[in-house]
Amino acid sequence: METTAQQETTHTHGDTVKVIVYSPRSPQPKEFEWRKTLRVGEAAREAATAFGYQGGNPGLQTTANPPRVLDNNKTLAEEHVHNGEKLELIDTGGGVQE
Amino acid sequence: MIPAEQARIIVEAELEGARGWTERYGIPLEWLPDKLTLRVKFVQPEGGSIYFLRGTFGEYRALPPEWTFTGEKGETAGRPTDFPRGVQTRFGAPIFIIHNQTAVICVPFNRLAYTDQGGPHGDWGGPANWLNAGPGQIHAETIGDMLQAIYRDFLYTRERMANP
Repeated sequence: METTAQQETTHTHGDTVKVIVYSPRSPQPKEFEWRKTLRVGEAAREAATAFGYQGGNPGLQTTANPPRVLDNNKTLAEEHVHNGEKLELIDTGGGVQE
Repeated sequence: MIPAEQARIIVEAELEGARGWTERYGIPLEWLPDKLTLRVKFVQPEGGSIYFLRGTFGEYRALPPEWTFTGEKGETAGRPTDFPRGVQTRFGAPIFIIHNQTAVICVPFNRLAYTDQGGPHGDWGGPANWLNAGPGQIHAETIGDMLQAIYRDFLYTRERMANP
């Protein structure tokens, strides 16, 4: 779930992870706290909705250069997402055959 | 018909997010409002070759932008020598293709991918349908989303479509 500053000070659980998510359509990131067992694709869909995306095929990648695309079918724990990690929303839709 | 001034206002509103994205990845971006043109420089991960992506925004958002790679000064467009060679990615087919001897970024948010602009796709309902075209395929609705989508597949490329 998207978190607020107040929640940040009162809720910290060992089975959850707090991440900062950026979107290429917004200058400001958003913070989320998710269960580590949540699948990347579900987390990406929640973040996309928070940023105002209605369609598409959301996914997440790291903000390293070059970035690492996370597998939508794996959990956040399986993709080694850690507290404080910065992630970026991407679209994972396929290329287009001519 | 979208007046140029209206298109400029829309683009500049979207550029706020797009600039944040380019700054995060160290990608230079230049906006030329009088020409409704955006210029972005991509560097290929292996070899360091430089590519000049150009978007032009007449009629935006009634119609999608025209995205292409150009020469360094924007003097050419659609030349295979200015394009990265498309490769299969984890997401599917390459988006950088050759059609009728012209290089094209083949995505629904590129006006140049549509048949009436000389592109390959007559099956997407025309460029005015760009926001709904190609469900399940690569999708982008704002300038930042588009830059990221193109860069996503660019990072898989390793060489030019043709030698200069």
